[in-house]
Amino acid sequence: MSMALQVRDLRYCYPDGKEALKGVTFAVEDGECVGLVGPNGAGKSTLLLHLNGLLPETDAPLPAVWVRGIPVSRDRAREIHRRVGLLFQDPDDQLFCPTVFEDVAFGPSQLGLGEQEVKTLVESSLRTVGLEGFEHRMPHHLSGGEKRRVCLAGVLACRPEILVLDEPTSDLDPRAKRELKALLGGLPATRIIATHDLELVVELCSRVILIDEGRVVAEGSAGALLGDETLMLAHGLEKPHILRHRHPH
Amino acid sequence: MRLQASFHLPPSIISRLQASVKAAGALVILLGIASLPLGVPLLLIVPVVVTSAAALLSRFPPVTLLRRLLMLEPFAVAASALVLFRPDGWTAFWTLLVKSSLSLTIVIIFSATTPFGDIFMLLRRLKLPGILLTTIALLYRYLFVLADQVERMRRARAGRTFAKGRRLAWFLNSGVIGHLAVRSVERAERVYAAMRARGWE
Amino acid sequence: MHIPDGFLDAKTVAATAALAAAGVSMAVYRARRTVPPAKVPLLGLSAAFLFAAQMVNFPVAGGTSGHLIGSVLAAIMLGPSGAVIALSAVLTVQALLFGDGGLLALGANILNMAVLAPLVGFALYRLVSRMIGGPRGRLTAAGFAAWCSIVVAAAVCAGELAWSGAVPWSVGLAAMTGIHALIGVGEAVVTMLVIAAVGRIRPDLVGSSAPVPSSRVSFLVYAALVTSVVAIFIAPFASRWPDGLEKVASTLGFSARALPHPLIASPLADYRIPWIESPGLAAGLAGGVGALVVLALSFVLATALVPRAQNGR
Repeated sequence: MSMALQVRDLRYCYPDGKEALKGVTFAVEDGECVGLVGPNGAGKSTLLLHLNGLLPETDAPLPAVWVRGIPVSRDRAREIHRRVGLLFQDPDDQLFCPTVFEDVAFGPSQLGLGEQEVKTLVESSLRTVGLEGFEHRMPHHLSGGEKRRVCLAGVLACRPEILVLDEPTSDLDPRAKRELKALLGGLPATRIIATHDLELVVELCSRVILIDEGRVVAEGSAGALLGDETLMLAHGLEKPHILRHRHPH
Repeated sequence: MRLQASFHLPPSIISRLQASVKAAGALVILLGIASLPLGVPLLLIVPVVVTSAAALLSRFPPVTLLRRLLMLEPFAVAASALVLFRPDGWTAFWTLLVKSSLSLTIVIIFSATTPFGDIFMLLRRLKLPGILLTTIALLYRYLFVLADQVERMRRARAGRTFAKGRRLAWFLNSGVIGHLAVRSVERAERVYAAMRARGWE
Repeated sequence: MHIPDGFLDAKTVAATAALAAAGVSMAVYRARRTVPPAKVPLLGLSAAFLFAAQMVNFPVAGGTSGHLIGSVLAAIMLGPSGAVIALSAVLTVQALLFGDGGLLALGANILNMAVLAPLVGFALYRLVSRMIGGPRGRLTAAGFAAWCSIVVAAAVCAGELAWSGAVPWSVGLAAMTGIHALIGVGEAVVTMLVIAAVGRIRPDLVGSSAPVPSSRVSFLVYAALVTSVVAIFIAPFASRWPDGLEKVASTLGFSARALPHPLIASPLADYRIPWIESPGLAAGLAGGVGALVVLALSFVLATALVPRAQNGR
C-alpha cells in the first residue's frame, strides 16, 4: 500500500502572528477515507489549504507536506492542485462562474484540454453528481444541495487522486445530506473530510484524526475515537447518537 | 430594491434571434430615434410604430412593460424638463420625453429577451479586455449573493433598532455598506483561493 | 445621473464613447501592470459590492431617498485604475440588464461616472489627505473628493446634454450642478460614514496603503485631470452662450408656472449671486464657495468620527 499524503511537523503562523498549526503530523494511505474532526478554530481549514498548496503563501525552508512523494512547493503548485481536489466550505466561494457549465469546465480548461474533451468531462462529472442537464443553470438559482454537488463536479472534473472536503454537509437539509453522503461514499478517490458532522464520519471514514489548538490530539478508528465520550467533550465535540445506540450495555 | 433579473418572457420571434442581431437592431433603432430633431413631433410616428411592433413581437405583457418603463422614467422626466427653457419649450419637452421612453422600451425589450449568458458571449466576441470581462462575470455572479447579504444585515440591524429617525437610518445603512465592503473583500480572497485550487495561475 | 437614450445626438454618442473607451483602455493597461492576479477577483467582487451598495436607500426629506454612487469609495479601496474597471462593469451591467442608463449613452455614463468621477476624486483625495494628514485628513479628503466627483460628473453631463443640442449649456450646467451639489453632500457624508465603518473593522482596506503614482507619466495624467477640473469650474467664465443666466432668470416666471414641482427654479435661485453681473462668474464663484463649505463640513464630520486619540496614526 503506497502513501497518498504525508504531513510531517507542519507549522503555520498567520501574517498577524497567530499560530494556527503547531507541528501537525499524519499520513493517509491510498484509497483511505479519513475524517478530520475538532472544535471551531482548531486549525482544520488552515490545514486543508496546506494539503493542496494554497498555503503557505511563500515556501517554507523545509517541505512539510508530500503528495504521492512530491513535496508541496510553489513551483510544483500546478501539479499539486491537479492531484488534490479541494471542496470549499461555502459553495458560493467556489461557484464563481455565471453558469454551471462554465464552472465545472473551469478546472479542465485551465489544464489546457481541448473544447470537446472539456465538454465530455463536464457532462460525465455532472452525471456523477446526479445533475445531468444542469449545464445552463445559474448558480444563484440552485438549492444548497445542488450548489454543493456542482462544486463537487467542478472538483471531480479535474480528475484528482485525492479529495479534500471542508464541511461538505454544512447548511444542508437532511435529504441533501443523505444524498451527498451516498455520493461521497461511492467515490473511488482517497478522501479527507473535515467536518463537525460526526455521523458522516462514522458512516464514511475508516480512520479519524482529532485536531485541537493546531495539534493532532488523537488518532484511531471512528468507533473507538468518537465513542470516547470524555475525549469528545474535552475537545468541544460530543459522542454521535449513532454510537450511543451501539453502547455495550 | 431594483433587482429583478430573474424575469422571463415566453419564447418569441425576438427571443429566438441571435444576441448580436438583436443588439445591432436595437442600436440601429436607438440611433434612428436619437437623430430625430426636437420640435417635429410628427416624425415620432415612425419609431412609435417600430417600437410597438418590437413590443408585440417580443410578447411582452403590456402592463409589465409599462411598469418597468415607469420605474426608470423619473430621470428622463427631470432631464426633459430642462428643455422647457427653449423657445419651443413644450414641444421639445414632449418630443424628448417620447424619444427617451421609446429608447427605454427598446432597451427593456432587449434585456428581457436576451439571457445574461448571451450578452456576455457578445461582449466577449466584441473583444473587450479580459480583466473587464472577468469583472463583469464576477459582478453578475455575486450581485445576487451580496444583495441577499444586504437584506439580511439590514433586517438583523433593524430588528435590534428601537429608535427611529433619519440620522440613525444613515448610520445604520452606512454600517451595513461598510460591513458589506469588508465581507466582499474577504470573499474575493476566498474566491481567489478557489480559482487557484482549480489551476488558475 | 444615468443618462437615458434619446438625449444625446449621434456626434455626442460617438465622441463620448471614444473618450470612455480611451479612459477604460488606459485603466486596463495600467491595471495589467499594477494589479496582481490575486486582486483580479477583488475587482469583480467590488463591482458587485458597489452595485449592491447602490441599492441601499438613504431617506432624504419629503419621502424621497437617495443612494451612494461610490466612485471615490471605489478609488480609495481599489486605486484609480481598479475603480475605473469596476465602475465601468457596474454601469455596463446596469445598462444591458436593468435598463438603467441608455445603451447609446453608455459611453457618456462611463465617461462621467466611471472615468472622470473616480480619477478626479482620487486626485483630489490624495491632494487633500496630504495637506491635512492623519486618519482625520484622509476622511476629510474622502468626503470632499466624493462631493467634487459628483459635481464634476454632473457638470460634464450638462456639457454632453448641451453639445447634443437638447438642453442649453447655461441652464443645464446650473440645474445639474445645482442639484448635484446637494446630492453630492449626501454622497460625501455616506462615503465618510462607510469609510469610517470599514476602518473600524479592516483599517488596511481604506488606509494610506493606496499605490503612490511615482512615474512621470502618472504625474502628468493627474496634473491633466486636476487641470480639467479647474477648467470645468472656470468654463462658465468663458461661456459665450447668448442667453446666459439673466435670460434664464427672466424665463423663470414662465418655468414656475410650467412646472408643478419647482425642480429647477430653486437651485437656480440658490446658484445666482445677486451682486455679481456676469452669470459665468456667479456660477464659478458659487462652485468655489460650495467646495470650500463642503471641505469645512467634511473636516467637522471627520473630527467627529475619528477620536482624537486615534488621529496620531
